[in-house]
Amino acid sequence: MRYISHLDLLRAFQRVMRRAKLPVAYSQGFNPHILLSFALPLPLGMESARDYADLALTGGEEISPEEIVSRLNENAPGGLRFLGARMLGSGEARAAAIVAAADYALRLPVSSEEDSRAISTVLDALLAEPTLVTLKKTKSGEKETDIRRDILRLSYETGPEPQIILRLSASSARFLNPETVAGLIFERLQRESVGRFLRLDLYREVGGKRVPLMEEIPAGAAAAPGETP
Amino acid sequence: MHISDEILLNVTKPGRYSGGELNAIVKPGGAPINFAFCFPDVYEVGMSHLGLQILYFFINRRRDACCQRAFMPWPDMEALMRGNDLPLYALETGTPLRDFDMLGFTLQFELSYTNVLAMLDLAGLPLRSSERGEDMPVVCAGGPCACNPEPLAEFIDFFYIGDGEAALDEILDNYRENKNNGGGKQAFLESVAGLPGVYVPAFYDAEYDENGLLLRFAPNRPSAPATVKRAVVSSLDAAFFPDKFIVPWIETVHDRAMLEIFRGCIRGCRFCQAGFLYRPVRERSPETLFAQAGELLSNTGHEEISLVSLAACDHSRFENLVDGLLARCSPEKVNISLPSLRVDAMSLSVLQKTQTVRKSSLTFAPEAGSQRLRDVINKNLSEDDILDGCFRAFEAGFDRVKLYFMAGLPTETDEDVAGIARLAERVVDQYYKLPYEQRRRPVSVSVSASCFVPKPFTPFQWAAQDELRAFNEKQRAIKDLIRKKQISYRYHDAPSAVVEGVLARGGRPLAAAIERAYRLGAKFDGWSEHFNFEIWQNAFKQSGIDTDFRVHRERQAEEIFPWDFIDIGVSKKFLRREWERGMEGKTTPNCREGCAGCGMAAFAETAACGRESNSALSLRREIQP
Repeated sequence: MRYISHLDLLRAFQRVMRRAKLPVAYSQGFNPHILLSFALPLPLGMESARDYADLALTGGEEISPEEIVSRLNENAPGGLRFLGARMLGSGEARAAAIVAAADYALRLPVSSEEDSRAISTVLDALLAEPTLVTLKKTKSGEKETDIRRDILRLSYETGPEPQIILRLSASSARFLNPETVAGLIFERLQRESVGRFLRLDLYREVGGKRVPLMEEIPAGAAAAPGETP
Repeated sequence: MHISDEILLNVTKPGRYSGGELNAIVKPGGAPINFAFCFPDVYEVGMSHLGLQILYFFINRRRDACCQRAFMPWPDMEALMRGNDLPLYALETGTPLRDFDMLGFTLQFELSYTNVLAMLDLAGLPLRSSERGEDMPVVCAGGPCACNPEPLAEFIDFFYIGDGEAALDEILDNYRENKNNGGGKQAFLESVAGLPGVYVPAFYDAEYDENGLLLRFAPNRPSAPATVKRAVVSSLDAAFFPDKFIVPWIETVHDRAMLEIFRGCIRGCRFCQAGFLYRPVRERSPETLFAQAGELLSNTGHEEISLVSLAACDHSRFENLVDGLLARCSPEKVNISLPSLRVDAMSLSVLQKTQTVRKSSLTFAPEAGSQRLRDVINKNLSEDDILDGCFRAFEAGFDRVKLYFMAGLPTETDEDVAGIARLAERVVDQYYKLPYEQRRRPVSVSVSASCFVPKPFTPFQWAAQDELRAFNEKQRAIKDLIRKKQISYRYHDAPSAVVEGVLARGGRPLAAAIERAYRLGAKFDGWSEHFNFEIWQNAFKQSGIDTDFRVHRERQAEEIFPWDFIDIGVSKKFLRREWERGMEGKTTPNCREGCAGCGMAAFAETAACGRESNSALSLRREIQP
């Protein structure tokens, strides 16, 4: 799955919808396509444990979220599983418009306790910095950017499969690439960059707190997002 | 499958190499017969090929067989595989190709031959059959280019000539029986040598003179028949067709479902190998096709379905077929694509129905620039047909037209070449006959001229191919003659046509040159960015191949061709007669207008030629002036 680009994944999803014979809505125009959009594109090379997309259905047919999920799973190719669905309330914003942060696990092939201590030290040191200026490539050359405030959380989990958990800004206005942070970490460890990212979940902000997109917001609270992971 | 990220995340489009597509079949532990379908081109090309999808499910429908796929890795992947000692593997399970019982290559065109060698090499197998031991897979090859198997004879254990559905089961039965009896590769080859369509090169001796002319060709053992008859499926309605296709994760060249509406062609254009190789015409009925479309679409989720054939509107119930498909597809927002249409009134009306929303470009293939030359090649299409067709298309709202031509056709003169530019300009003029308010934007006419390469089993198999210099001059002439800015002109690579020509009509002595070219670095020769003429020139020189003599001379009537021992059903006598008629500028009616006696009717007992309904015949006459 991680070898598939975002556009290819989008096409694969549309085909699952078609095989599942869901009452999906199509765009108008010359080349009608299913109204389906992901909360946040998944880069090639990254796997995801929980992803989100909005899907528009036609009004004609009554269909429960459970039914949608089971029909999608019956028609999903290997490596793709649908975890849940919910109907959006009227006026709820698209998932892509409200996603604010993402959790990533960077899985490391670390073994010795010494290694673990070194990593913990580096993470603590990074979090202690008031600013972290990196060079960001833009259309017109490179630009210095402070990424410190886009690192929302950084922790190290030991165990048989040690991993660094990163929570980073992931809104359309402020997006921090996990590779950038990994680069900083490995630079300070004075090691070659290794490991593989798994995207764990996506969040929005509700009253200053970060809530997974799947969670329904009680009526009256802030606007809420989309459905099928 | 466990190919490391260090490899897959460092190549373009890793999805080419990771497998796991929808509807791919994994049989854990394999089966008594493990078959790898090998496509000697990159994944996106191979996965667009209908034959692969048919044979994959055909073989996998057997409990005793397991078919997996392998493609030629793109050069970036090839380099990493070689650097990491990773042998070429099959996508379904990652099993190395050398661990299979059988490798089956499809030969779609001559410029993929070095890729066949590259895949054997990447699999860790010796290139030549004689050097592969009993413990190595049987290597076979089929597809259109197998009709002249001789250039690859040294590398392939057996060729299969004809429709896969016809005798492949029997071959696999023999393989299993032989294996159960403890027989080896040689015993298996002996057991299939007499089956329809099977050619085992090692069982035949060929003698060539120093110019590469074939002197003698004969079997060297009783199990091998003197003539290899093409294997033919008599009814497509009864033939196997998969109810699903593998759905690639990544975008392929033709990313859609495909229906094979008929095999064969009634036309008999004298340059066209497919037009003779797949005779007779065998149609699927609309009812069968509706059912197949329904299954394919619900099992793949494809948003487009393409009607595959050599000339879609020659289906005897074409309108009926398209109307029925439209009724089924439109509510599901499935597009119908018609890749092979002729210019006539009916086609245009059908096209308008299938393209209710988008007016994409229209493609016409006049092939030659003058009526005289179109008669020589038996392309029964007049200039008026073309111009009327274009005018009607413009009236209907199309404003982009593609025109396909060939340069270097037999008897071609400067006047014919100039005709290409003139015809294109007249097509532009047709657009400006429309009232001003109907012209929404400037018309765009794109002209493309490929280099004609004579092919075996066509009336032009005797023809001299144009020399490089002549191709280049003609292409420049067309370019210079095109004045109108609405016309864009594209031409094909002439040097690769020379290589294609040598390989297409060559014999066994070419083995050394193909291997040489491969060793010198030739691969993906069909891709202009990879084709290297210098390599091939060196390879030919080093192997003593005189390309001028091989392709640039007209062949003698009595010459024995390397492929003469294969009987495709169309007789050499008929092809010679067609060559002579062509030289006299005489056309030959198509199969529905009258039987020209090609030999096919006698070859396949249940041949469908001539069995078309009368109504289809008369309809055809009205349309074809």
